[in-house]
Amino acid sequence: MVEHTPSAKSKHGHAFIEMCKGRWREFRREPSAFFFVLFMPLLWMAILGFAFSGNRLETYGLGWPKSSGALDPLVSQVHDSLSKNPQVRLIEGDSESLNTALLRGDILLIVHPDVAGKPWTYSFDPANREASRARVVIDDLAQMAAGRQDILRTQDEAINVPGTRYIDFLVPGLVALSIMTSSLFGIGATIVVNRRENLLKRYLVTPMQPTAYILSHVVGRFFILAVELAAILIGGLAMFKFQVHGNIFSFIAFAMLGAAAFTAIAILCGSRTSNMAVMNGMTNLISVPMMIVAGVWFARTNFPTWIAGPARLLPLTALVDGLRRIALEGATLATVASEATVLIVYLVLAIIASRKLFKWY
Amino acid sequence: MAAAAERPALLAHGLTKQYGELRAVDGISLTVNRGECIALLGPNGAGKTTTVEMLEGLVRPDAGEITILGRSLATDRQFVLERIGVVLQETTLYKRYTVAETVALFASFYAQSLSPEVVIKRLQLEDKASTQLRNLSGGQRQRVYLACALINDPELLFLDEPTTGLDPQARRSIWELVAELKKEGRSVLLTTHYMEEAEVLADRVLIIDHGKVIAEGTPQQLIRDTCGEMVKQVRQGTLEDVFLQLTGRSMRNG
Repeated sequence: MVEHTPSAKSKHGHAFIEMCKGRWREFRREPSAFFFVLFMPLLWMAILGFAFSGNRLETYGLGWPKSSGALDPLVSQVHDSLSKNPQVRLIEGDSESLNTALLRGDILLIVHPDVAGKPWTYSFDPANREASRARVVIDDLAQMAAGRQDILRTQDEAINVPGTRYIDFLVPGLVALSIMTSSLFGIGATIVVNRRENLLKRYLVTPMQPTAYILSHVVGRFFILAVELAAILIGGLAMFKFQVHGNIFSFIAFAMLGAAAFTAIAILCGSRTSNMAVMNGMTNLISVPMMIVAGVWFARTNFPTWIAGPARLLPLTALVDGLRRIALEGATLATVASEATVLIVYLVLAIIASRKLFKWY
Repeated sequence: MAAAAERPALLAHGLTKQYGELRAVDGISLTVNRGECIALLGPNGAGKTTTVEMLEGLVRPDAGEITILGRSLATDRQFVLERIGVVLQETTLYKRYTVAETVALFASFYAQSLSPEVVIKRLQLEDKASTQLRNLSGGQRQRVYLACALINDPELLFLDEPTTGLDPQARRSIWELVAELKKEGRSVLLTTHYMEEAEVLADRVLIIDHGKVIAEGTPQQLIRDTCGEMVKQVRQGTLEDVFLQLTGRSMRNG
């Protein structure tokens, strides 16, 4: 066997650098990590981007009672015109089958064409906004088909300003969402598993400074952020010609601040438990409500103010808003200072709390 | 250097640790001399793990002194950590690191370390150097953990149940390695549930129960003293007989 020779001792790589290399290695070799970081945001973008883009018109289901006798020529003219219109899905039937179609949501309103001098009657639920809209559109089409002449001369002009499409709104939201989930479910979970498997304890019986382990996770987080940002921005450009309107470096800097804040939150969540079920429950408890109220997919304008107001103080909301303002409105870092402050407060509080709470084993 | 070699590798005096109502460790003292292997035996819940964790610096004792390689563990922790090697129970290292990457990671923790290649060769892992840990057998993985414990050329080794769950061949190969490490003048503190392991490796055995050392001596002494009558009988007494005689035969909960 090899002899015990102290002269064989030599200096090797620095612990912190080796740890950071390790973080990258784990990311690269863990297929699920790669999938969630790279493909999930792209999948969301593709599905939602294509679902809510293009100039497909809204269509409306219209119920038309079957009549036994011959139709009045004017009514039959309107019927033929409506049935050919791409915005109208005309469904004919007896009153029972039309009611069933109404309950199923196949049609929004039922029209009763004028019978024996009575006015046309539209039956619909006025509390249903889509049905109210259908009533206006269908009445308009029916009047035109009956020969109405419009008095005002009108024409349409399409607005195509970059940054006003749904996809432009969506992409910064997906960047923020990806930063949150890959921090909480990536770093937090890794720390919990390392604790459960006694790896953190094993580190404590070496002269390595424990902060090197924590800091390596922060650096590792930035590796992942680079991959996330590249995937989403390149994917957005390729699929939808999405571009950051503001300064791309401000966008990246703000994303880095968000990643730092969520890394600190993830470390805090993973600071004590060695039970993955507890960790999963905690991350879901934090992330699911934030995903709903932060306005990742849709604007928060539909929420009542008692939700929308406090939601502004959540880290995901601050990250979404800041990224969106830089990307869409060309805001500078100075003008997103209030969003940045929210993130900095979470970052600092989470670091302080983790230092107090962190258990190595 | 000569003077340092005279001093015991590990000296613990009056270690005590209380967890709520439970006095887990109640005044344990022990010495590990240079080049000596001491085995700590005890049923689950006897205070063995707490004792070892205090000696490794993971748990702070309520009372007592620990001196390792001539320095106080309480005040010179970094000095001590640079010079000890540890194999913990039930540890899992990164499953997707190769053997070479794992050993190099641990090498980076120490101010001075052996070359990873040398240690990998010593543990007969050179064929597996570029294999990820998840693709190794239990015995091979345990050898990787030993490689990590040896990377800083330690003077004192803590081996906590190093062969639990291994097949007999893997166990024998680890025994041979520990015997060699002793010959090189390294000191070993071993905990184990296998009496045969203690009999083969340990120069002295300490049996711990209810937080106290209840018996101490060479395996032969303990067998002679405790199983005197048995020896006259048909079969030779073993350390297993000693252990069961002293700690009782009822099952313990961890």
